[in-house]
Amino acid sequence: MTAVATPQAQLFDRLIAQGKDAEPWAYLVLSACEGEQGLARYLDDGVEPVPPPKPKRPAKGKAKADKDAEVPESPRAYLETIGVRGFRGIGPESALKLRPGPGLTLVIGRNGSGKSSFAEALEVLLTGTSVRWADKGSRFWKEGWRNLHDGGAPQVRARLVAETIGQVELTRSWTGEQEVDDGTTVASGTGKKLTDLAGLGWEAAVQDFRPFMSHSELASRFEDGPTVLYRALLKGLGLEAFEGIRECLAKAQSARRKQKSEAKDTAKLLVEEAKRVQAATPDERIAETIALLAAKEFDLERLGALATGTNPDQASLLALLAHITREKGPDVAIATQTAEGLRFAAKAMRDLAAQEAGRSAEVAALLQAALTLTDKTGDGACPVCETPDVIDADWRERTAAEVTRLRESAKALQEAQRLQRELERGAQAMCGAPPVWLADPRLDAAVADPAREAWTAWRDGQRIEDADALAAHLEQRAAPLVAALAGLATWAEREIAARQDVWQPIAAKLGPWVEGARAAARGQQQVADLKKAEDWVKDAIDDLRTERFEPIAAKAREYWGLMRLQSNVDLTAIKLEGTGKAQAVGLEVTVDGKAAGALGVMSQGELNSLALSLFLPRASLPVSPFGFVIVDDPVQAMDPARVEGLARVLQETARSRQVIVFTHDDRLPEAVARLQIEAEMVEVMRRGNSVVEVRTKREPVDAYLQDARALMSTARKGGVPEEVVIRVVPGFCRAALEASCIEVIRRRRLAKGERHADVEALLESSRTLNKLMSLVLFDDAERAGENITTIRNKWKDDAAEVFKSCQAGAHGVFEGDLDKLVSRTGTFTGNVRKLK
Amino acid sequence: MTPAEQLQWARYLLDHGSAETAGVWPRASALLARHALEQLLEDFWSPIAPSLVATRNVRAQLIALRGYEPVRESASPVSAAYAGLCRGCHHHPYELPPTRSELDWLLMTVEQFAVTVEKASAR
Repeated sequence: MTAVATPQAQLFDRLIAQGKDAEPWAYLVLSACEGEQGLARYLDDGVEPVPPPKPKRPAKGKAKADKDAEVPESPRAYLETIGVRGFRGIGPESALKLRPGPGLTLVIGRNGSGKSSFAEALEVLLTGTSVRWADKGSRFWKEGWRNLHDGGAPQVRARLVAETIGQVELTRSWTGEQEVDDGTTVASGTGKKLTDLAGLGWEAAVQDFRPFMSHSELASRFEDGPTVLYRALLKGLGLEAFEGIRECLAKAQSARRKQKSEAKDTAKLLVEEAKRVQAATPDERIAETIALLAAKEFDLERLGALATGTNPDQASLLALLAHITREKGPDVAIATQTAEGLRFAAKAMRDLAAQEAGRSAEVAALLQAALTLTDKTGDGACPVCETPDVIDADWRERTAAEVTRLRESAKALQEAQRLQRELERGAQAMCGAPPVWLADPRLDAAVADPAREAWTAWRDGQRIEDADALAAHLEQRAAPLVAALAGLATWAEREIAARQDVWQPIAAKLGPWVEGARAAARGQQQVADLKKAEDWVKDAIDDLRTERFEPIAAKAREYWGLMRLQSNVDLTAIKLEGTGKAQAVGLEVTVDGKAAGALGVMSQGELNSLALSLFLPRASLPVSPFGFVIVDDPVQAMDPARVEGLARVLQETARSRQVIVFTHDDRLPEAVARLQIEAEMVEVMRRGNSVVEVRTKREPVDAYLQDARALMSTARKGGVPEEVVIRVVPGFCRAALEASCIEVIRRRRLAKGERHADVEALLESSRTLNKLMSLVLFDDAERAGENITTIRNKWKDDAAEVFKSCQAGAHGVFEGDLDKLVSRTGTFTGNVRKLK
Repeated sequence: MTPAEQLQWARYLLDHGSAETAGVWPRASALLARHALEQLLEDFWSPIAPSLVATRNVRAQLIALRGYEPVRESASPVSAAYAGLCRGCHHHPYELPPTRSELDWLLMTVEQFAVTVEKASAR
């Protein structure tokens, strides 16, 4: 096929033409052109699509007109031969030879003659199966495909002449036990190197343009519903790619919506599970998770922190338990040391006090006062005891030294007292009040109460002033408190472990959920743009569809107009509506000028005509590589008037296509002959052992006379006895006369404007030569008695003789000259056919 | 040519074709078989009811079969076969010549009737 702009390039053109290429969603459209992966690359990883090169001409209106002119005509293939052997109704090899190129060919044969086997053979060659089997799906059809009258392997072949390629030979053969679907079609040709259908580009094209139209297929076109019809009609218009792009965008949206609803659904499940666990083993994290997951908007930040265990809630029992495990109470070693210090200080105090140190400050003050006084009074007697001569320089020296010593002693005592007080204060400070958390009612009383009591007792140390008592308090109370707290910590550790057991499974689920919910939240922001992109593509598809389908719709309306003839149903519009699953073909019809639902008011024959009107134009699309269209048995259920319309439609299609029509009776050939439509006619007949004969169909009068002569010539050569010929030839002559009469009657009456159905009814009721001749001569079937006289008057004695011989000879035994009878019948029929 | 011989030839045409008889055989075979059937009827009725034969009315002869015990059973299928053969002998609007399988059945009916007639005449 000729290079056509890619869907991406076409959409890019359109974006630019509409000035939408800078929209935030424009990249979504372009990346969707690269398929789901391309779109995902852009949405998830931010990889931008590679836009196609800028279009040369951005002008809108003009571009469209150009496009129409540009529709490329594909090189076409025409059929030359269809050869069939051991397949379906055909035993030994039989070939249907056709004239390659546009034109109409009618292949005529009764049902069971093997004619449809040619159509099926071609279908199998090109598609690998036949709709007849595929639809019926029954083993009966699939198993009956081999013709057992031919010992050889089944084979179907076709020779085509393809423009630019040359001759193409397609062959498909089967061996042994192979099923009909098992075979493969081998292609060979004179021009290009060929191996298979795909290499010719025909494999996909045959699905898109489907050049086969069988009665059953046409009949079922409307049964499968308007959506299936829609799909079938739009194939080959190149819209699938665009539809794929739209679906890609739609899928991305629904995936994101689904992600969101899944996050919600999973949240519900998680809440349910958490509630179940919570009922058995309460836990703040579970409670918080439940509250957060049940909220309208998810707090993903907090939920994430919960899942990973970072930043726990300080007020939570878990935090308290964790705190308890770290609470060791007073350091027993330090308490002991402090106690020892206290005792040491107390003893030192006692020792100092026992010595003079207790009063040294006062004695020092007294002696200092004595020194000061005696400095004034001078040496002499003691002013206190009046002992003489004790106050002297020596005394002064001794006393001054004593004062210094006493003062130092007093200072040491003070220092000891300060130290003792410090130790006491430190020890009291050690006995701090019980912490607030210890009063927490959530703590197990069995372990918390001993700790509380121990701690309260420990606190009492604050009020003890006596150093020895305080030391004793420290020594006695520290260890029990530490032991009680250790007991509490052990309990807390067990509690933590137990809670971790119930929380862990929920945390394990919460983690991935948070991840998913974050992705969903990100996706939600993309949905709006995806929707815009999809809507825009949808509009583009609508426009393209209208643009591309219009020629088909116009042709279909034209064809229907030709075929409807005397039908009161008029097709006013064919519309393609909706997208996705709601796609449908809308057929608007009027019955006697009033609008009506199309399918309801139509007969089966009308439906078939309508289907043909719709699918013939499709099969003749300019882009199809097939120059031929096979129509199998379109005449079924059609009344005579419509057959005439059909003949005109086929003539119309045959102007540009090789139209091959298989038909089971003589209605279509008769109409084609009467309307003087140029056509090749081929007759197919099946003999014993599935021997299928194909020969050019002649018009009936000549055919009978030729057959009569052929039989006589066979007799002369000894092929059949003379006695057989005598009994058969008059019958052929009579049939020739009948055929000439029918031709005249039909032509004359239709020209007068009589209804087809009435003419056919008249012929059906006038089956004898006598009645037919009477209609020819008098336009009245009831004047047969006057036939002989009138014939004699009109065409001399010979004609009357022939007429009589034909009548009698068909039943009795003819005794005259057979050669003369045949040649005179020829003259006679010629004269009859000349009548107006 | 006896009816039996005519039937044989009718069958021969059905199965053995030459280039010249291609396409001829369906109608030729039908015509021969019809001749055979008409002659069978004539041969059968001649000794029993000469006046019936004299009318040369085949339809009357077929109807009369119903009233005659030895051949009563044949009346219906043979009448149907005769109608079928006639269709094959005349030119009818839009109808193509009878198919091989159709003719096969028609011939078989006439052949069976030939046997019945022979038995009835032998009594």
